[in-house]
Amino acid sequence: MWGLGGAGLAAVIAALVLVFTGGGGPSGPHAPTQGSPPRTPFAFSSAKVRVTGLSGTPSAALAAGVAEQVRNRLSGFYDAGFMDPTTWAKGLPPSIWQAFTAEAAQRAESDPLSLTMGRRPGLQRLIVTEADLTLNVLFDPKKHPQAVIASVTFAATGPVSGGSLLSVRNNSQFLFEAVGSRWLVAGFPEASVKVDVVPAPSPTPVPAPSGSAGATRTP
Amino acid sequence: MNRARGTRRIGTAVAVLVAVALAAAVAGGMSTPGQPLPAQAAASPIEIHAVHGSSFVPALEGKRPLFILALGSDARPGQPVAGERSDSIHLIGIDVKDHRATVLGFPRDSWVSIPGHGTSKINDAMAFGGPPLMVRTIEDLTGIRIDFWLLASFTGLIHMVDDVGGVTVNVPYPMHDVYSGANFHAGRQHLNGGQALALARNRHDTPRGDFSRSENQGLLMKSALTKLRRQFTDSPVVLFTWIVALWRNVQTDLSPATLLGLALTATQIPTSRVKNLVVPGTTGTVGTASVVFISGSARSIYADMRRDGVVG
Repeated sequence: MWGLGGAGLAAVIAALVLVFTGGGGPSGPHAPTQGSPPRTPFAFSSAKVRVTGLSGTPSAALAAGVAEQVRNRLSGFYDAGFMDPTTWAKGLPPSIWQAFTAEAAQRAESDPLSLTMGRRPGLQRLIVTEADLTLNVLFDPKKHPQAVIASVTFAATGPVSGGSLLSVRNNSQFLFEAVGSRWLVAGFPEASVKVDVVPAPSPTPVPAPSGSAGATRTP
Repeated sequence: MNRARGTRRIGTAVAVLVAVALAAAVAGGMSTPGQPLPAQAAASPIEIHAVHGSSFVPALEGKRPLFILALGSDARPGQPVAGERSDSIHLIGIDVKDHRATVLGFPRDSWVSIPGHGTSKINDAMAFGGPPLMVRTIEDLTGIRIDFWLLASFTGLIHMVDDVGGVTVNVPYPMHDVYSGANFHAGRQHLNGGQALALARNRHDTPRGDFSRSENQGLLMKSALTKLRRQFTDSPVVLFTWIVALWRNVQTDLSPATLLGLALTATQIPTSRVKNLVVPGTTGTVGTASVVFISGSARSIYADMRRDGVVG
C-alpha cells in the first residue's frame, strides 16, 4: 500500500550508511547494555498544528495544550510500538492500548500489525528516518476542543542479525476524542505498516585507477 | 489522490524490484530465469514487503434507528429562515447497526393534518411553528419519532455546497427551467452551490413536478455523501471541513459532538445502501389550492422505515 518512492529509497540508503558506519547510534543514559539491543527512546520532536473552529477564533494556548497531550500520547505509542527493543523481543505490551478508547483498543488489538511493528526478533537497532506529525484540532462554538485528527508518517530502518536490513514505514490517521481529561485514540481511519527485510547490499566495488588492472578498493 | 496512489504503486513496484534484485544479487547471485536459487538463499528466512492495513471509524451505535428531518426553507433574503414555508422536506432514516439509510421526501403540497392548525399543506407547518412544529407534523403523519432536525436556506445551501468544493451529480434527464435556473444536460456533472440550488428547486421541467423535485433533492444528498466518503478515504481530516460547512450554513438542534458522530457515521454508509424515495400520492385541488393527497400505500413505507430506519 505504501511503497518506497525515490525519497524513501534515499532515506533508507542514508540510514543504511549511518547504520553500517556506526553513526546515529544511541548515546547517553539510554546507551545499550552489553548483549541487548540499544534503547533509543522516541518522541515526535514537534507537530504541525492546524485549528478549525465552528465559530470564532479558538484559543491558541488551548490548541497548543491539546496538541501537546496528543503529541505525548502518540510519542509513547510509537516508542512502544516501534522503537522499544523489549517489544521486538517479547511483543507488544498490553499497556500500549491505554492510548485508545475501549472500543478502538478492541479493534486495534485484533490487527496490531497495521498500527505497530510488533515482535521483531533479531532486530539489532532501529534508526528513525522520518517522523512527521500533523494535528488538526476541531473546536466547538463554545471554543472547547472537540476532536483531533492526527496524521503520522513514520519510517525507520535498522540491521537484523544475519546481515539483513529492516525498514519499516507507517502512515496513520488517528481520531482523538477527549475522555474525561484524557485525549484518547477513538478511531484510526487509516493505518498501515509496511515492513521490508532484505539482505544488506554489499559494498560497491570502485573501479581501479588506470594502470593497476585487477585491483579493487572498497570504501 | 488517484495520481498520488498511482505514484505510490509505482514506488512500490520500484521498491519491490529493487528488493528482489538486491535479494537475488546479495543472497544468491544473479540467477537466470527458470533456475532455482541456491539452497542457502531459498532457505533464508527473509521477509519481503509485509504490508498490513486497516481502519476503524467510531460510528454511532444503538439498537434503534436514527431519524433526522432535513428541511429547506423558501425564505427570501431578509425573511426569517425558520419562519417561512419549507419547500424541501426529507426524513432521513439511518440503520446505524447495518450502515444503511433511506431518504424519504415529502412533496411540499402534501395535504396533511398539522397539530393545532387543522389540515393544510405540509410546508405551512414551518411557517406556523418553525422546525419543531414540522417535526411534530411528520411524527404524527408517520408514527416515527424524529431525533434531530436540520434547516437550510437558499443561500445556506449554496454556501454549503461551495464550501465543500461542489458536488458531482448524475442528472437523470435534461433540465432547462427558467424559473429555477436549472440548465443541465443528462449525465454526470460537477455542480457549484448555485447550480445545486437550481437542481433542487426545479419542478417545472421534470417528469413528475414536485415529486421529481423531491427525488432530485434526495439525489443531491446522495451525491454529497458520495463525495464525503471519497474525500474521507483520501484524507480523513476533510471531515472537519464538512462539519464546519454544515454548522455554518444550517440551523439545527444537533450538538457539535453529535454532529461529529453523525458525520463519522455517514462516512461508513455506502451510497449504494442509501435508498431515495418520495412519498407516493396524487395531485388534486382543495378549493383553489393545488395539493398532493398522500396515498394510503405510504403507511406501509412509514411502518417499514419505523422498524429499522430503512425501506426494504
